[in-house]
Amino acid sequence: MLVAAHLTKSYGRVEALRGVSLELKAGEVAALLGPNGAGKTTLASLIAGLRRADRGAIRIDGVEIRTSADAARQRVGLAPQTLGVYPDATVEENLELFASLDGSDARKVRRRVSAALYPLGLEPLARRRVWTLSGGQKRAVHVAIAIASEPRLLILDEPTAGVDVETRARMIALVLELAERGVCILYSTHQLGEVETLNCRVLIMESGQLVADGTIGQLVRAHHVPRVLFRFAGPIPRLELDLPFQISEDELSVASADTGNVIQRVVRALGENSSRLVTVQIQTPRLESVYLSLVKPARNGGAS
Amino acid sequence: MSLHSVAAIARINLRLLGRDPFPFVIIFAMPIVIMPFVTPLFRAALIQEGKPDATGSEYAVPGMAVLFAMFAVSHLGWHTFQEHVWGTWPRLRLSSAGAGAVMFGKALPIWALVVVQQLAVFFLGTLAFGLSIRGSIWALLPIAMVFASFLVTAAAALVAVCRTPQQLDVFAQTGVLLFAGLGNALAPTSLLPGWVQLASPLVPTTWATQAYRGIVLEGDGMLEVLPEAGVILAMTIAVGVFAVMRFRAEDEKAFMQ
Repeated sequence: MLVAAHLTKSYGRVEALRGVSLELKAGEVAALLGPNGAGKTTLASLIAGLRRADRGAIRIDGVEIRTSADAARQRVGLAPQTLGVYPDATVEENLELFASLDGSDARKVRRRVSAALYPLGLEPLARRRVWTLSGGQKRAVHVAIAIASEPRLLILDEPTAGVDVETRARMIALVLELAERGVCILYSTHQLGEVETLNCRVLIMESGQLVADGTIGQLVRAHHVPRVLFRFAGPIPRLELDLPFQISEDELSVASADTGNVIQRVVRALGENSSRLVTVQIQTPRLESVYLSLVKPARNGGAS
Repeated sequence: MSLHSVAAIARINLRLLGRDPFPFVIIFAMPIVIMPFVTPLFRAALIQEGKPDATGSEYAVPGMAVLFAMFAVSHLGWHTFQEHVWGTWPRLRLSSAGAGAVMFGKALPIWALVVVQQLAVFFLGTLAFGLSIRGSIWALLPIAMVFASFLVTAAAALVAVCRTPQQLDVFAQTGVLLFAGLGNALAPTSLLPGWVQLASPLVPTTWATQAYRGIVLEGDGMLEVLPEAGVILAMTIAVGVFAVMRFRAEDEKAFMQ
């Protein structure tokens, strides 16, 4: 569905993208993560056709964006980071406009508007002018506009910023439902919890490059190992252990993929002192620790 | 560019205009408010020109209609900049409508309102200021249409060259005074300095007021106003070509806080 190859983009002397390549299939959801300034929004803008890459190529549903920009754009729905709504128009009027710009007839437009209103709980607000809505409701309208034209590729740039828990859940459910219907979704966010809920492919960007690409499980396995924490009553007893470990006050920690083996060996090494062992905890790495381990070193490296 | 997209964009812009009609109330009302102040001046000039029966409205009505219609330029320009503020510009660009359809759709309601304003000021001039139209009232229409076309095209050109709404406002307001002054809308031609009379054919307002005054005083009809309509149309095309050459849909417009 989406093929982006060797994309580069500079703003003056600042290199926003440095050779980014990625492919997304129909029905696939990919979460785009990265710190501010990593190049996420630039990448989304290039794919949406709002900006032109300095080098590289983008194909959407087989259509080359550089040579057939209009045809490619017809396949894309975008909810940019900043709101894009007519505040003095009603929710329905906003949706009607963007659902009709491809020349669809009135019946199709009405169906599209209903289909965009319902999943985000906007039906009761359809006749309200957008400026009278809360920030979160405006964000929901903003996202609804992106889906109103029935895109094949949907780009959502921080869609849940400022929305309440219920709307956030609706948006996540909507993303999963659209993916089931074959829509390809690029979901840029800072909310790692949402990515874990989506349980989707993860793309991590840093300094204009893709530094990681895989499912949450793949990234966790590739970039982090579990850690076993042993907590004692009082000081940690002396023990001879042929494993690399760390000690802090009443806690001993060992990083290893084979957690069962670690527990057996530590208990054996403790011998009679094992009665002083209070708790054993296995810390399973999460996306956040993978993200931080990938992003922070690169940042520090950049700074030095 | 599809007519369907133009119509959809025009429809939402008309709705937005209907919800904040204040700028157009001013464009419609101000000519009527100012008319009593300038009519005696124009009457004196007309008597000096050998028309002792003139009321002054023969010059004042076309002048005020043309002068206040020009405020539509800043309105349309400002409204186009607002699309950047609302964040709707990228969405419109991303749609299959295209930048041409967007600009046409935005301009269409303003164009129609300017045409209506021109005709309404003449109508109110006959009711309230004793204006008597000797020529064909139908001949007012082509002049109103081409003049409105010039104004919306000028607005598009200003949007193309200006980076901020403040820049646009300065150009548009200065343009109103300059074009009204050179175009004999503020004062009778005979009272203007010689160099202004020489420069006045360069602005479309001159041709619009000349055509309107010809219809009112000389009894001109459709055929007689065609040359003036043609000149305004040629100016519109020239400004339009400039606007198309300079317009970049991807330009980001800066906003001073």
